[in-house]
Amino acid sequence: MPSTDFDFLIKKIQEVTITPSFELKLEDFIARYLLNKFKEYLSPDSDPYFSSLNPIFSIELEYSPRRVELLKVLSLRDGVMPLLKFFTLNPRPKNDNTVYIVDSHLSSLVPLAWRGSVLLRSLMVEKTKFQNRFNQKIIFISPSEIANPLSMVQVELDTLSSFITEEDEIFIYLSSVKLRGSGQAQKDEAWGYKILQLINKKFNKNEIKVLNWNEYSGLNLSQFEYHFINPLKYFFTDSFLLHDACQKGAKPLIDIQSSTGYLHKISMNHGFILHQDFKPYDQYGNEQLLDIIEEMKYEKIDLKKNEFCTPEFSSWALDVAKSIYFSSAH
Amino acid sequence: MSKYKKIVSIVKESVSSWKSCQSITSNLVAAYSKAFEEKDFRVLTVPNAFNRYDAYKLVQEIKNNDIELIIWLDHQPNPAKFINELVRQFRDVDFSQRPKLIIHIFGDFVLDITQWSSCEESLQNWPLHFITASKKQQQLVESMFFSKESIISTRAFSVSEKIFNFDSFDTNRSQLRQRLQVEKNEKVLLYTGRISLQKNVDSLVKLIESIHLFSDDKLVLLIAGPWDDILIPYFGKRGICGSYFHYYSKTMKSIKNSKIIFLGNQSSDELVCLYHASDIFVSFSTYNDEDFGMAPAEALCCGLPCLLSDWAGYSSFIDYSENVKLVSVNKKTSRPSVIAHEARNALVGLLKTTPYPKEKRKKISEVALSYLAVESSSVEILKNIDTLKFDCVESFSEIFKNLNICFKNNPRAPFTDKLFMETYAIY
Repeated sequence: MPSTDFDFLIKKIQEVTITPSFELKLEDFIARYLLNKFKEYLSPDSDPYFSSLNPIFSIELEYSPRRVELLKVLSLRDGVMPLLKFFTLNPRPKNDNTVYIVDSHLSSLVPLAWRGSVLLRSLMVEKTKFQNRFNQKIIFISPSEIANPLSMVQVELDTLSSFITEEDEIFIYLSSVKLRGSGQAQKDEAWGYKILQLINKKFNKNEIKVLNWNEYSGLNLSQFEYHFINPLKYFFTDSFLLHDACQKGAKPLIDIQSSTGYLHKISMNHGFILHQDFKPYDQYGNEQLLDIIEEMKYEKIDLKKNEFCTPEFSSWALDVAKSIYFSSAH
Repeated sequence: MSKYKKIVSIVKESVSSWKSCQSITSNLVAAYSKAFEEKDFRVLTVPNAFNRYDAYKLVQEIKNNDIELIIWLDHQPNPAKFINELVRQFRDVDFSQRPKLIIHIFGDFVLDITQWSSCEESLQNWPLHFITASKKQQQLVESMFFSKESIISTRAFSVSEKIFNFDSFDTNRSQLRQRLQVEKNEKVLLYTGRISLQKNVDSLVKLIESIHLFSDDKLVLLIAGPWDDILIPYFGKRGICGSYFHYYSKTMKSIKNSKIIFLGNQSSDELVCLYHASDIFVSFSTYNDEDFGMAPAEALCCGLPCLLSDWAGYSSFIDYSENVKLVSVNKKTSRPSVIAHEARNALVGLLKTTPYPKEKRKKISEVALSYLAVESSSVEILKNIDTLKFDCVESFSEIFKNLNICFKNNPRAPFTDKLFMETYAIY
């Protein structure tokens, strides 16, 4: 039985950090084209960043099980859908030696059998040294019809409006448009314009700039406050853009609720607090539904069509994501 | 008054993503605009993805307007396609009648070696002049191109005197030191610039940590700049977001006695306050393409004495101020670094004389601005423009050819230790 001792898990993390390596070649473990498709679909949110916590998507483990043996700590960047799929395919850990880290918002998805091997991560961003407030705001939105339904984006924008004044300059970066696969991309085209309509309507007195990748890269983010619109956390919880912005000095527009636990720094300005404050486990379905899920996990999926799971699993995962969203502080 | 009547300068249409190049290019444009304000002087822009058709249109515009002097002012795009197109469209024009081309060389000269190679024949058929930013960079370029005339010269990059000056010194110094809670008896050392592997910020921190054994001074080290995960791409060592911070964290674990404050990326106005509030600017960079050093230039213009590695562009700063101390670099390695005990002794020596009185700081600023200000640059441009020699490149060195082969064969890790030391022996 895995130990439930928090200190024991943290000690494993610390052992990894003492022997870091630049040469952590993620490419060594990525074998398959179809796997790359998933990451390409979510780029740049899914772009790699360096941390001794070994941030990866669980889908990478499906094609490289050896990674679990080699890397003693794995920080899963998954959102609801890939994480649900991971725990569905793996109802219990394969070994006691690996520490898994999961976003704290999704703690209710972690089965009881896993909780002895799992730490939760909450973001921590250092307070600014000089100014208390910056007039430049950058909003990151992942333009996916599934992950960011317009109705939910509207709610997020309503919340944001109380933190933004008319004098503020708003920069918008629509991430995950660097490279889109086929199929779903066609549906998404209109979504992007509709999002901008909502933003313009909400912030019609502000100066708004939509950025491309080069323009985003040229910003001095130490003068910015940022906000991520990713309410359902459907595809991912841990975005490269978050780390890029925080490393460059951007501060959260809306204060992050602090957690207590072990601080692991990713940059001078931010890190993760690791803890085990799990919400109660929820199956998000009755026995009949779970029987269907059990059957679905053996069905083949067509990643060429950007189907990362069966349509039924996707719909279920979406309902789970909405359930988590509505039960949270929103 | 210059003999040239019609002059164009060429810059990229969008702002560079490389922070120092943003100010370098805009200051160069300002200096040339000022120098040629009574001439027909225009600034033409080119797109990021500069292709042959863009080059064709640009040369057509130059031809149609009888331009006499062209100044390529930006580090990107590389002018290779432009030079090829110039030769193509002016092939029926006598060499002596062709418009003269000045090319300002930036730190990515070696990085662009395959592009320079792609216009070898054109470089041998056009009246050119290269302007480097420092003496050592001039020597580097001279080791690549040979010509009959002396067509490579040096002019320091300009600093905007409107921003970096000695104004409001007293206010800036007292306010910032108060905000940072610097005690009256603490001496402030400052590093500004990218925080990256080759800038050797970790070596600087280790030096500060050890200095208390050799000096009674209480020190504060301020570090202002963005984290940079470039690592050493010439040797195939590439980082991703967070790589260098992780490497640096190892150093920080051993730091127990020092007061080090990381300030992140700062705006120009905030940098001026930092330069005024500090007592010594320190940088031990051995970045492979440190062609100049905007940070020490700006520091000097704000009246701050500098302690620098005797490396590449930094070595030239003793020409712009007697308040620059250089520390020798161990160059018998592909990972050059300052010689630790020399750095320590130099710093201890400087600490004995700092903080400098206000009048002395003001003098440092005035002297530096007399060399580096945009206004000073424009005067120098006008003075020298008619005496610059223009000629074609006659031949290319073995180092140039070897570099080209290595970059083509292995663009992700072009250098061997031997090739690196051969190329950068001058630095």
